[in-house]
Amino acid sequence: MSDPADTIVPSPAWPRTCAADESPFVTSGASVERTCWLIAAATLPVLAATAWIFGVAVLGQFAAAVAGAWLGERLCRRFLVQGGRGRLPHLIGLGLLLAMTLPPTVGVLVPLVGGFAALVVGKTLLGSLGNYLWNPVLVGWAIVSVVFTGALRPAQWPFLARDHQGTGSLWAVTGGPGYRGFELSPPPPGVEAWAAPRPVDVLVPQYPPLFGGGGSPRPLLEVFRDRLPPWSDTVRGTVGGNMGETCAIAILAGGLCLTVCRVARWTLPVGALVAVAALAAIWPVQIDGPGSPAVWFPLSQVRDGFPVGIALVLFHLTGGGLLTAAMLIAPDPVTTPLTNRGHLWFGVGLGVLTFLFRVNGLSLGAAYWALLAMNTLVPLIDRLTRRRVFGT
Amino acid sequence: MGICGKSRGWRGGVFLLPPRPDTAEHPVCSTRAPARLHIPLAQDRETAATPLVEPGHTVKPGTLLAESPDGNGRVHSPVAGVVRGVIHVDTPYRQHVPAVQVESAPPGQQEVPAGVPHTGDWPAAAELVSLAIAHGVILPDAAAVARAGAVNRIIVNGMDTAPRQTVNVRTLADHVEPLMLAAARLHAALRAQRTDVVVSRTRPDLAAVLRGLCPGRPFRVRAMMNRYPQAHPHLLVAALTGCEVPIHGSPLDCGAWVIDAVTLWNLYGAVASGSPVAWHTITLLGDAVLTPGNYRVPVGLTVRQVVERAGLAATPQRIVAGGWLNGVTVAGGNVVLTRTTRCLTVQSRSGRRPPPAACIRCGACLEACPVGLDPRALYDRAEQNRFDRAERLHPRACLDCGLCDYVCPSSLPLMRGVQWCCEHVRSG
Ligand code: SF4
Ligand code: SF4
Repeated sequence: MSDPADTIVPSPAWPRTCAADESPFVTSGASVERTCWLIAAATLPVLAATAWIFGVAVLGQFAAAVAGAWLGERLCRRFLVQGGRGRLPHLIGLGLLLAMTLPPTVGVLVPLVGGFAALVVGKTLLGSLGNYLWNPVLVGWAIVSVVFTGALRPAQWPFLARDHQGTGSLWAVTGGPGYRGFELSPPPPGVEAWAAPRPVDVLVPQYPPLFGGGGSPRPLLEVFRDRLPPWSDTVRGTVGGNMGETCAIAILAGGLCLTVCRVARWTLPVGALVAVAALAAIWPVQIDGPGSPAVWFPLSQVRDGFPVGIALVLFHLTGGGLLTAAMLIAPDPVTTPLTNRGHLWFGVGLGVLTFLFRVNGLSLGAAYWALLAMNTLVPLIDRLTRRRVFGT
Repeated sequence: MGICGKSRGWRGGVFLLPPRPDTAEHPVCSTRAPARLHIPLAQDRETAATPLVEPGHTVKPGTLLAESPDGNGRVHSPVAGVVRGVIHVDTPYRQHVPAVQVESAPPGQQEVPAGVPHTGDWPAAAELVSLAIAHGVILPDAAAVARAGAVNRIIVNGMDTAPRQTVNVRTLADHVEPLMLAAARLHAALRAQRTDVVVSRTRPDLAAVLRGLCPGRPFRVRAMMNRYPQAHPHLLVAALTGCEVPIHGSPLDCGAWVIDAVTLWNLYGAVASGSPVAWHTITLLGDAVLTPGNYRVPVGLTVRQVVERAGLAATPQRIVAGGWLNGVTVAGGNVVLTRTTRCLTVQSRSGRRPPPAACIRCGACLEACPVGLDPRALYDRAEQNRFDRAERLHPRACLDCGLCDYVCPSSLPLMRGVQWCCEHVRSG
């Protein structure tokens, strides 16, 4: 038996001193690196879908965005800040998410510049991981959308036609009144891609403008029958749009992963989708073409046996950048509120702003501008959703 | 979850993994006293008790060794033997604590203390409390309980505050009959309206045994979800009564009094057989321990003496006294355990946390905090030494549960930041 008097002769099995650590001695396994890797990994389903919908060649644009972010990281490390955890996964996630917000025909220069700008301006100059107020992906996107206005608003939005998926060329494209949807329209000979408008771009002119500006509404029935593919195509992703916006299934898969891994919270996308659906269901829309009165509560409207109201709501949910913004870009924890309740209000605000931007004529990037606006409100939301301290 | 409301009286908390190996599977293992003991005269940060014995005195089990000036801290000898003197030892919580060194007599001469068995009703509140203090039982809120009618509801806590510690549940399981008798007597002595016996829902067999003893007795058995830190007295009160303990208050402000199974067992020993607290039960855990489990040891053993009772499987690298989320490391095998140490983890590896990084605002600490604090804001204040407005964040509501540290992806020492704010708010 030993006692404190024996300290001079430590027995072999007992070290003289043991590790002097601080609690906790076990952790939940959460880490900055894990969070950043998961956000990057959540884009994988979308990457796969993108390669299938737009051809593997567009993956080069994703690579360019990551390369741009990497260059920015090197530069920042050299001249601005050292240290910080999770830099590699963070830059990869930044690059991949940034490329998702760009059109498939954008080329490599824009994503390269975008990735660079996202990292240097959006992340490092605005305060580094943990301090920036705006989502760096969207800061990069905003910068390129100002600098390369034309490249981000292409004349047409191509995607590969049946039998050419994955391998076809987006440049062998035909524009489309002949397009009736993925299942129904085999491509004409010599053509590998269809071009079709983004669904939201088509819907926006249906709304009577709030602040001037002119919509040129067509009858909604005609829009859904002749100008838009069936809604299921937006779920599958075979519609016009930015690279990461079209395939709702892939976006949902990525977002679900983030939620299950507790990086994102379900309250945010649910709040956003419910808000957009609710607004789309009640906001007045000109259903019967030019000169017709705007109808409130379009949800219940049926024309010729076709539920135009329901279709309108569904296209609002999946036809633009909303899903991408709410499920993949927004989960950057730095730029979202702290509590679950805060996330819910953030999501609702995101949905409301997206919808308001859309009905006022801003169809391209409405969700991204809305997300940037909500980022600005985060300190306010945090203040308003503080938890009450137990026993006060 | 924020929008699901508070169904259990409090929000937050985390389900931690169930204990593997389950140290509550086997009864508490009794051990023999070693040849020499060092009985510390202070448990935590309080003033040390004054020794009443001189070197050369012979002591018997239960002999009073020291008493604190206010008469509340009493230290008794666990063994028969001879006092060798007063030396200074390190305890897990404090260095250089005076301790009485006792050379224990050979096992043959360790006679069992001949207390007078007491089987009748227990004395009323005031007398009961002074009896407890005389026997070294540390009762929570002793002074307030002594006032008649202060306790409306007694909560007997059969759950353990630290994850994987099983001292309470095992004590309850080992002494079901006497403890339930004690609960009934206590109920009558304090004139309580209600008594609840709380066990974890993960131990349905124990709950069933307890329920079998309920008929004809004034208490109810509650099986509760063991969402850490549910076993904290404040959260038990919140879950059972719906009343939130005020920040500067104690459960008695809600009319409830939480007594854990170990303390009730000590109280029972003091009242029923007049035996003072000189032995304590401790959960031994960790991969360097050969047979993890609960051990009953005399007060005044070193870490090494305690661990060697369970056998050593590997060279210890890290020894943790207390819970895994909020305990402290022990410097070495010669540290003397106090009787407030309920759990000891001996590991053959010392895993390091990654260095702290900037907060990424994930909000995990806010969602996990059982009392709704904002640990990251408090940590910021502590980091920048700006305590002017820390008071408004109510740092003193902190339960020191350590969950904020547990969940933080940036490995920030949040609990320490909150405690730091606490100290400044208190003194400033
Ligand atoms: S240690 Fe304090 S601040 Fe941290 S989670 Fe527990 S009660 Fe909240
Ligand atoms: S858990 Fe850590 S990283 Fe997350 S908000 Fe709290 S302090 Fe920040």
